[in-house]
Amino acid sequence: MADAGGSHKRKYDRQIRIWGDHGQARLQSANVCMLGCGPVGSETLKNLVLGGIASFTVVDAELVTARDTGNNFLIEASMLGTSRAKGVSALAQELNESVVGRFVEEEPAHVVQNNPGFFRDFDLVIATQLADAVAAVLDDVCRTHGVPLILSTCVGFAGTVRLSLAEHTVLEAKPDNSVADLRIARPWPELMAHAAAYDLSAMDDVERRHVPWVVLLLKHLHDWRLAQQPPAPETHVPTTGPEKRAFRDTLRAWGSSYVEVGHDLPDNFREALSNAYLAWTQPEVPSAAANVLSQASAVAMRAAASPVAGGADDLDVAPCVGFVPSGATTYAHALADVATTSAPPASAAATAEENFWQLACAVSRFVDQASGGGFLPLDGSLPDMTATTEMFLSLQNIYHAKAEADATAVASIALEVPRPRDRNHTAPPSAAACRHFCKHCRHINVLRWCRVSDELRNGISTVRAALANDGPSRDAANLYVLLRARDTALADTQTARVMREGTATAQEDELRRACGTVLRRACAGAHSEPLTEELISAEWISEIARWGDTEPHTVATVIGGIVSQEAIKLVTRQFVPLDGVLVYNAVRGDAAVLDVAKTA
Amino acid sequence: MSSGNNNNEVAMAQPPSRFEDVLHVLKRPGALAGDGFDADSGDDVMEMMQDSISLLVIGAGGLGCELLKDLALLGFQNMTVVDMDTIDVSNLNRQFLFRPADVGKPKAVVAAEKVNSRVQGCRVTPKHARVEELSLDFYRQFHVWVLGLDSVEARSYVNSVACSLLEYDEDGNVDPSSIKPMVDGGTEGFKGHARVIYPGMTPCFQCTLWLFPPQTKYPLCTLAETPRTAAHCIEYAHLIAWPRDRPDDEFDADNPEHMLWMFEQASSRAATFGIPGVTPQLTSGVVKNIIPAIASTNAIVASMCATEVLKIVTMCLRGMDNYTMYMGGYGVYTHVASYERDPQCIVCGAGIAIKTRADSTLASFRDALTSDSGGDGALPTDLRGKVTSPSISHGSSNLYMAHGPLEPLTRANLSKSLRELLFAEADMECERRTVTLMLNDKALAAPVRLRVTVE
Repeated sequence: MADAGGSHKRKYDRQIRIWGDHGQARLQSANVCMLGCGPVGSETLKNLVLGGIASFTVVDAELVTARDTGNNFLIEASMLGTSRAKGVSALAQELNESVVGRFVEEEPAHVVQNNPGFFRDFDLVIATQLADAVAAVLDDVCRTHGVPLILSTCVGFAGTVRLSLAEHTVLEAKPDNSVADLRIARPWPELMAHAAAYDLSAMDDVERRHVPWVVLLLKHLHDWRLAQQPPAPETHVPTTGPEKRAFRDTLRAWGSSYVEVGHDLPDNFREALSNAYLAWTQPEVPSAAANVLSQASAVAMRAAASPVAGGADDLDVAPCVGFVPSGATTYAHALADVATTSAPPASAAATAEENFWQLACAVSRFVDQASGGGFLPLDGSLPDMTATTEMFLSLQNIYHAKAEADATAVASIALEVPRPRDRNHTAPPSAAACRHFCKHCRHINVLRWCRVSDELRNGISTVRAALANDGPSRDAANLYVLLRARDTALADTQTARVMREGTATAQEDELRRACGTVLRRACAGAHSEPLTEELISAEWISEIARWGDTEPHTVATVIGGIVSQEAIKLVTRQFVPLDGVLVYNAVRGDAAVLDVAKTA
Repeated sequence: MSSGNNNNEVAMAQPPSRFEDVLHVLKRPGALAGDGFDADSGDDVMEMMQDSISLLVIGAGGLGCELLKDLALLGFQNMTVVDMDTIDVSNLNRQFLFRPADVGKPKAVVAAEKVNSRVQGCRVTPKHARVEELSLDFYRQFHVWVLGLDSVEARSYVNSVACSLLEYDEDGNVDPSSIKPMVDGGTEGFKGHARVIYPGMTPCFQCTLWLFPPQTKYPLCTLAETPRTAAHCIEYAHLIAWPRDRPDDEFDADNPEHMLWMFEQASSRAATFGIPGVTPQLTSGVVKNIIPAIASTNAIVASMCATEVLKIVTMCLRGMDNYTMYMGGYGVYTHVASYERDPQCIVCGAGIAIKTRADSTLASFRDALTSDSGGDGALPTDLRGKVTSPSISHGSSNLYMAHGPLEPLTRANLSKSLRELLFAEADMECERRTVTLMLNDKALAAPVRLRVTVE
């Protein structure tokens, strides 16, 4: 491993292009606990080990059966009758020599109930196929330790994925289609002056055809304002349909005046026309970012006052019992100490994320102050457009200079924001960190999940509307209630026997009864109309009964794939995690997210 | 699919199957099962999946590795995997059947070996070949084709092969036995799609070509005269500087010396113009047109595809109808769209109906098509008189190739009658028959199907 850096870079090239070196460094320092290594657990493990996490620890008490050799790729025939945790760990480890693998031969539910301290040192806990009641306990344990949790189930051709943690902030949301922030409707003086300096009538044809469309729009908007009766102020933009149409028509006419009759508009004018809507698009703060900024001050103040940074969770910290292995052989494969790779470098990105609330607070003050004028700091990016090299670069410099000035202003405001108590001995965020934060601040986000126990209490009444409406979430709501009902039926020895050994009709009846139970429980005490099992589709009841305890490999793989995407989002702190309960429906081949996991 | 001779006692007495998760569902009726599903034949269906169904997996890359594993763990045992590539270090973050020691070996060969050794009874046959190198008879032997490809070109090619196998009757109804169902997946970053295609019944690639975004192409004048971005400088080095400065070297993106040269050229051009941002990583990204890829997205999309293969073969559940988009970057968003066929599609459509006499020669048939009337008005108006030198084929046999080395070899067919060329001995007595011929010509974007009724 003499050239670990270089070979890592090549091995992980295709993903580093997505989350960068700093995202990869975070992944390489993540220690993941995997509860259950059936097909969902094994597939999740496979994806995360390939991506290069620091370590995994599998907790599973099963012995390998014939069925495991048919639905789990991290099992081979020679393992029949031996520890499943050991077998899966060995084959998962073999996927990537840089990852440390461990296993514990214990029942996950047993560890959850008896050794809560076991979970303390992980960066992420992933649970597969846990009963609802155990999941609720695990959730409490993980929140006590501040460890994020992902829960997943796979039942036949359906499954669920849900995240649970108090709070997750996202700086690099990396949205798919973000409209560039060009401030055409509200230009700052230097940008106005830059555009004004272009005199198209004094240019030759070649030059004129290369004037960037941003400049064309700025000039045309300026002229439009002057042409109003009386002339409109500098903040005025076309608002009505006729005004917008007239704006476009005069823009087209301006471009046509430079070409012979019957010839096409020059490329730059065509680009200006297709971007004309930016002339009346105000640089607003997107709602997710506005939500962050509105609470930034309060959260930053609280962090400064309490030792816990970020959104505090009002939890009694239970004494953590250290996990004592119940037998000498259980840790046979514990190869090394927890983290093998060093923490991510103190890069600008990492510093910006660590100081999320402080910098969000600074940005929020920036927006309110004269320096921001009600707008977010500019990110400074300019999309490619028809232009000469010189015209494009000088325009790019104008945007870049404004972004620098905004970031500098935010950095000086940040100095006035109280520092979190646990970090007040460290240096304030660097200029580079402030620049990084400002570059991404338009898409910052904060997500908070309610406790699993709260979801178990309130989830079903939340989906009642979706159950009754013929909308896209109807199947998902049916499956959600049915999986809860199935869990209830399996939690009782007698009904569980019917569910596993009864005739098809008996199984369906039991499931229908259980639906009634969970639905009635959901509306107990509520003044609304009672919910009954009549609401649940007979088709879905029959299918859930039909599927029984099966975990077809390809359904488990979809669930495992979604779980690993979410794990990567949590660990890299990039992209936006799932904020509800995802219900995968392999019959239709889609997934719907039910809004039952947010904090009240 | 054999009919049910179900004997529950015998089934119960058997040891639990390795593929119990699938078998359990196959043996039980369901409200959401597909048309024709018969739970009483569950065991037979599983046996059929294992013994008589053969699947073609095209691509042994990120999706292909997952597909082979997925299909093997559903119980399919006969598969052939086609891939022309060899293993590169940058594949290892997701192509989980490959290890560092496999770098440089053919993907198809290693993938087949790994799956066969891990899943007992599985027989994956590797084909280290390009999709274009394989014959129609090769493609024809598989029941379902599963595509894990990364280019529009390769998908279009495979699509055109599947559609060329379609047989339509005189009225334009497709013969179901000529349909090769295809399941296709694709990914980029956290996004992907899975789709099911029954050529001739549901939209083919060509019908919905607009689903693929246009590729980024820079005008040469921008590269040569007004570069503005780092990518422009890199493409200048790639498309202009290399052929100018190293005309005798064939550029190889896998040659480190070539890539270094490219990076240095791009950097110096960027420095000349004051353009920031040229890095070795961006240089390889632009030159190789790299699509970022991760294991988890491939796993999701491939297993959605494999689940559809199971449904197509067993009908155990209704199929996806017919395209699922998956987006995992902002929460999780999926969307199922039932796209519709393009009735005018030149690739999967019923094609152009023509009537002709069995005793007319291929030459006279061909002359009629190239005449200004376009085969007596059979060709659509926009093609009449435009088709000047067409090649004509029937299934995998070239009746007449107008260009290239096959021309002299097929020239003799021109004087033969259509009866002689198209009818097997046994069919000679038939009064009327409809055959599908493919017509190709430089005036056509793709081969056109001719539904020729011979009397």
